[in-house]
Amino acid sequence: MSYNSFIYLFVFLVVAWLLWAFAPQKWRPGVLLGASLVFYFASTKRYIVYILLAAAIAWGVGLLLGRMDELLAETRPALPAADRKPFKKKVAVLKKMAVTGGVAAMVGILLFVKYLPFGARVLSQLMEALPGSPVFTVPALVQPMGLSFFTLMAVSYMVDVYRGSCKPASHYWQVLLFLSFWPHVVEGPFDRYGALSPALLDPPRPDYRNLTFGIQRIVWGLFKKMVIADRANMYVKAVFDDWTQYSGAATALGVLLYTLQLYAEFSGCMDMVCGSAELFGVPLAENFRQPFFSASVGEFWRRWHITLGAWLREYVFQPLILSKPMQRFARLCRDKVSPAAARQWPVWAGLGITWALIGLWHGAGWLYLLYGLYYFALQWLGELAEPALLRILPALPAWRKTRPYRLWQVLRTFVLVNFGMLIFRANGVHAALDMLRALAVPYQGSLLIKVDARDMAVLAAGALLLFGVDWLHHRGHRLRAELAMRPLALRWAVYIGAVLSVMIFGAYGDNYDPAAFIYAQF
Amino acid sequence: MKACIKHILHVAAFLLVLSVAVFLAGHYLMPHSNRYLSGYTAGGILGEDFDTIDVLIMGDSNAAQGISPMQWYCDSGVTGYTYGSGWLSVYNIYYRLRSIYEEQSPKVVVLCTGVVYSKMSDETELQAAIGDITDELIPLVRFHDNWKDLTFANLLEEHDYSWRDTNKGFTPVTTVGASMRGDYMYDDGVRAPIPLLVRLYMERIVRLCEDHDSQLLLITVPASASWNLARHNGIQSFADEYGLTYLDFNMADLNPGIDWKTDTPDGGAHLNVLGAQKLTTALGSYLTEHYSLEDHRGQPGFESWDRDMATYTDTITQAAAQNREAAEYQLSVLEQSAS
Amino acid sequence: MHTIEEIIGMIEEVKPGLHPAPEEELVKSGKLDSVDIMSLVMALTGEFDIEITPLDLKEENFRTPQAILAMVERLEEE
Repeated sequence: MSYNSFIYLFVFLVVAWLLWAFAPQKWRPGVLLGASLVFYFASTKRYIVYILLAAAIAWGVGLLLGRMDELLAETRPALPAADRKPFKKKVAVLKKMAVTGGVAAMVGILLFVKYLPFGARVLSQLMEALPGSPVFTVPALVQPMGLSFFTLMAVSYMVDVYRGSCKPASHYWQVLLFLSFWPHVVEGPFDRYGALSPALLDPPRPDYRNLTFGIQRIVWGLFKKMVIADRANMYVKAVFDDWTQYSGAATALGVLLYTLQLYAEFSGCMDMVCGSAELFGVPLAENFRQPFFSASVGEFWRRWHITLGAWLREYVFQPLILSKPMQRFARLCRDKVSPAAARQWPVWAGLGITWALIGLWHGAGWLYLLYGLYYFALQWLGELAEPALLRILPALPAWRKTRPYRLWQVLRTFVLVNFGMLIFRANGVHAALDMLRALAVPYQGSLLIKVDARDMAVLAAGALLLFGVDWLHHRGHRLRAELAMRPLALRWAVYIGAVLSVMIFGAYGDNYDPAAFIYAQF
Repeated sequence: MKACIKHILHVAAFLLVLSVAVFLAGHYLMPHSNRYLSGYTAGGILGEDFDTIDVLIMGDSNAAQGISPMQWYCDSGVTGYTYGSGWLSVYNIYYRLRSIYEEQSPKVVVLCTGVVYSKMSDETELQAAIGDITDELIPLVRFHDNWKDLTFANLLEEHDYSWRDTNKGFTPVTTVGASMRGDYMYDDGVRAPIPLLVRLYMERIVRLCEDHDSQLLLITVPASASWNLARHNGIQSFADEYGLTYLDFNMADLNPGIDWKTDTPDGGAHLNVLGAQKLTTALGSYLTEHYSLEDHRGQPGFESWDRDMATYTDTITQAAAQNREAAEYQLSVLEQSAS
Repeated sequence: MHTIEEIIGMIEEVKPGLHPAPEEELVKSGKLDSVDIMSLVMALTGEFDIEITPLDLKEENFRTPQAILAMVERLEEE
């Protein structure tokens, strides 16, 4: 069941909401769980076992950690003073073992299902250097829907309980609901158990504003996906699938349209899922904050797919740098090199690993690793060049506060991000390199590849509208609330206009190729 | 409670206004001429005078390229129309038939059963059903892409649904692309039951024809690329259940002499003029033998048909000649590659 | 005991050109991003005999140089 399908919008959501609204308060979480399981089963059938297993492991580990804390609180006062600290340490060690085991199991499942064939390929390629070594391939396992999302959310649950950021769930179904909640199980956002569980387990009453605002947000998401993204897809598919036929402006336009497509689709999907959850009073985390107004690639990744960056920062980057091996490495740097190196090199190492993981999270392949390392290289070079830049241009900090400089930064970031998108979408590392070379070769042909002039006009208008809405959000406007205060005629004109735009300009029907959701494959 | 009722009324009022807007938008986006209402020349049926079509053929592109009703008129004065358009499904056909019945009262409805098993492979049955039924019930969804053809000039123009097709829905194709498939109606042990939702709509078509006193005849246009014994059996059991006659022109005993090396333009998916002529003749003689169909030649009210006979004869003679040339070339190519 | 100047000095080393006042907002204003904070953490753990855990990486502990000083002194006691 896809978020922009007729069945989801007019059957599933309607039935789920009616059941939820008319159910007694203590059954409402049950309705959400039932709906989530129906949604998940409809798309995955027997592979539902993976999410059931993940929820079981997470819940079990959470309970274990909670039990150990209780044990500590109960028995510690009864011990003689000398024994208290060692006992606390012992419990701490056991807790660490429990959470490490749980996280290892979860990550193990993810690695096994998603990365085994890639691992086998890499191993094969390495062993090719040795004579007489066997060439082996491992068949790809079927990846259940949302695997990359729910395994990492399960990890965040276990670590949050370990750190004391949230209380462990007492019932299995509570963890299962958190992981399988249908708005975020397919493409995220990555939510935290502590943030989401109050609304899931003790929902607010059905609210007219939640209902109407949620529907409006869903329609906006549909507009982005069906009018902009699916239309751009036709051009993008032609240029990227058949990349050797195109060069110069055609390739460049393909990259720009892909950036537009990916942004419109992913943020549109987020609008659809956040809107769906809003109908039930559940606040999902935001994944986008006007990313194309960023002044650096670092800032871009704090405004694009926000929850992935936040997850990696909190559960990988920070613990990695604070870990004992990294601290030892820092000491080594201080002794052998300099105190500055001790401060910087571990952080860069951690950053490199984190970026590599961002890349690889998107896909098990060299291309995705390259994608992550591209951004790492940009950020690292930026850091390295900073002291030198400040020496050459001492006025730089002052310039940085001016408007024209900021505009230059935004444009520069936009160009760099587009190069990243080229890598991301290309059909492999060789294709990416071919396309980069081809950008320099002029293209003699019409730029109306698989789309006609009118389609381009719609794309341009859609992009402008998207940019305009982002600009208003950037300035702090809360559009749905502001619109709700306008006179009825204007409000209804906007709402009806929005629905008609989706129905008329949507890229669906016989003349268009169907376009699946891009992020659902990760 | 009061606030709740107020909200419900508010929402209901909004939905009402939205529905009106959708209906109006659909109206303005419908094609201005019936020529473009459907693929091939199916839309031309709306240009025919009321109650003049005696034999109505409903099908997809197979039918549009395979059955030429004008040939029957020339031979025996029987008026027919082939309502065939690419990728039509049983759902589409039910609703189209319903709207055709508003203007015509055919004595025989010929349903080309290729549509029962054709669906775009990347959709599920349910998706296909929902998509097609929504298309039929909400014209805006079906014609939404026509915004590209709208200009300020033609926005307020009246619709003109008087265009007629001299070929009565038939599209002659004169190219040849041989099918080397050989026997395709053998028993491979596979079964192909009719999907549930499709079956539901086939039953609705049966009842619709009964309600309008039309005889329903099931046929399958020869198509070596897409038909097989399993599908034949699926249709046959439906026909048996509802007491309908089923003529499968793919079967050996009914084969009108199709030569798959020359009678298809695309390797067996459709028929060209040579194939269409054979099929039309065979179907025509069955129709005249088993149904009492009037000879309308020379009758008042059918003058345009009489005039169209001459145009059609010219068209088809030319097309057949072109087709025979292409066929000879194809055969020579095959001989060369064999030797 | 450590002084606020030591902390401010370390911040300057991590981000040349930044010389914050003791009560100046560091995180929300964007003067220090997450990478800078981690470099600062490396400097703090290298310079002082403290152990910083992920639980200490809270916004309130790094909000101002004064807050950082308070955190360092608290961790040294443990």
